[in-house]
Amino acid sequence: MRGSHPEEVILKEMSSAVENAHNDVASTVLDLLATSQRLPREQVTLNSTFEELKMDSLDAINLIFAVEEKFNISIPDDAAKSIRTVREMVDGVVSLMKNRALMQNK
Amino acid sequence: MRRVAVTGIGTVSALGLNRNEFWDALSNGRSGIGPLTHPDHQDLRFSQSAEVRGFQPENYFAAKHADTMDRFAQFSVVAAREAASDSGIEWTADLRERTVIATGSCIGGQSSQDHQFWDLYKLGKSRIHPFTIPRTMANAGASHISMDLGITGPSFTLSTACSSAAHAIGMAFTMVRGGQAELALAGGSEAPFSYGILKAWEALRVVSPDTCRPFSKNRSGMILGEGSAMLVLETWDAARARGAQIYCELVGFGMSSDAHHLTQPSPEGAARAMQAALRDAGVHADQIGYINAHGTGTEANDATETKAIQLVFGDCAPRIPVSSTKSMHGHALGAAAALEAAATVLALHHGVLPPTANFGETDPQCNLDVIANQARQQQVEFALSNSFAFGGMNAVLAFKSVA
Repeated sequence: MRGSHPEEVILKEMSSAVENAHNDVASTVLDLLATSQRLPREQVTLNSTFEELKMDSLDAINLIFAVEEKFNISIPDDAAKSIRTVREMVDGVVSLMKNRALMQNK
Repeated sequence: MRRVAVTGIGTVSALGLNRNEFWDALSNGRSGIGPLTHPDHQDLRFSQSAEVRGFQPENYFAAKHADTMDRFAQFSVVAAREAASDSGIEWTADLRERTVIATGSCIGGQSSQDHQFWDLYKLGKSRIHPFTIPRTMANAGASHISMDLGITGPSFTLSTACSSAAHAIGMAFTMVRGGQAELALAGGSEAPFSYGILKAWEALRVVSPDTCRPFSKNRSGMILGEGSAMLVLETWDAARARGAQIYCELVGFGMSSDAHHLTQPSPEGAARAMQAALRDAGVHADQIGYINAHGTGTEANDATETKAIQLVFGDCAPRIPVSSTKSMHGHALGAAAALEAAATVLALHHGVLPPTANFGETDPQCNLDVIANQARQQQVEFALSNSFAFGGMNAVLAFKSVA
């Protein structure tokens, strides 16, 4: 990192930390998805849609419950209704966790 | 087979503590939905409910007696007393022995159980109250009615989630029609406002954050309700012979199973129940003049129920007035079908079709003649009351006007 402007370093470190956190969340969500839906872990990916995984509305709220429990977050009803893919779920969790971190730092 | 008359109605609901308040609100499109009063309501994602307000058990029961009853059982006795008194029936030992009590309840006295288990699990107590079981059992409503009115004939309780009371009324109807009983007190009761049960509904994500707007484009879910309704059913001939007031005739009962999904409704399953009720009543689809819909206000139910109505009524579907009175008395689960049967009976009796309150913009997915916000002065000959439950268990009642 020699020669870089200190602010850039901080930004890079921050974005790398965020990226790592995002990857951790993604991996955990995929684990929860596989467990709650009784699917082989290798069958579920970030690009899977609930439809492809043959998940209906009851399956979706089952997964949402597992995710809420794991990350200690509360997913609003509107968001819960609109989530249709694993990626949307991961992005949603990350955003809720960020909000919580911001609230705690305030 | 014998004809069956409806000669008595009793109700306890968010619309009031008796039948007159119930009908006054329904016919004026006035909703009983308001703020949830549970002390921990701030922990819930929803804040509105259709609670029975101002119900004082001591106005109806000796304190020692009330102690043995969950709120749902108290409601059922109050509604049964009103229905029996309304019918003007003169009880004899013989009639008491030939009367069936059929009640529906989804969760029975689980609110009592919830409170007691709190002591056990949360407060770490080692014993809970000995009335927990007799207050919790789902047949407690029917049991208390039989003791209160001294009815010694058959009694039973059916639990088919949100269709419970329709199954109870329907089975009582077949018993009176077939000669197994001369008279019936049939309906349902529910009191689901305990913390654990509210949390369980929250988890299902079907409760609206504001209000219940069945068949509207901007509908956002159901509103939980509570209460009880009981009907007195008796043979047409006996009712005529004693000069009873006959509200209407109960002419058909149809049931079906979706065999599809635990919570998602099916248009075909719902349609089969309506068709079965029409067949049982010997009525053609084009004779139906009003449908009191299941109409929960959820995205899935209302669109599916519309499809089911279209399957059964075909070209007539857009011309049949439909309303969901759940927009006013809420979704009282195992009591819902009884409140809606009472609403349907009163609609035929008064020649007034109650509206769907809170109705906003028409949803193309619910392309029906929804009676929006204001009641219609309209005397119809035949009406259906639809009930479709979780578990895919459907029950539909068909009524015929006396007019």
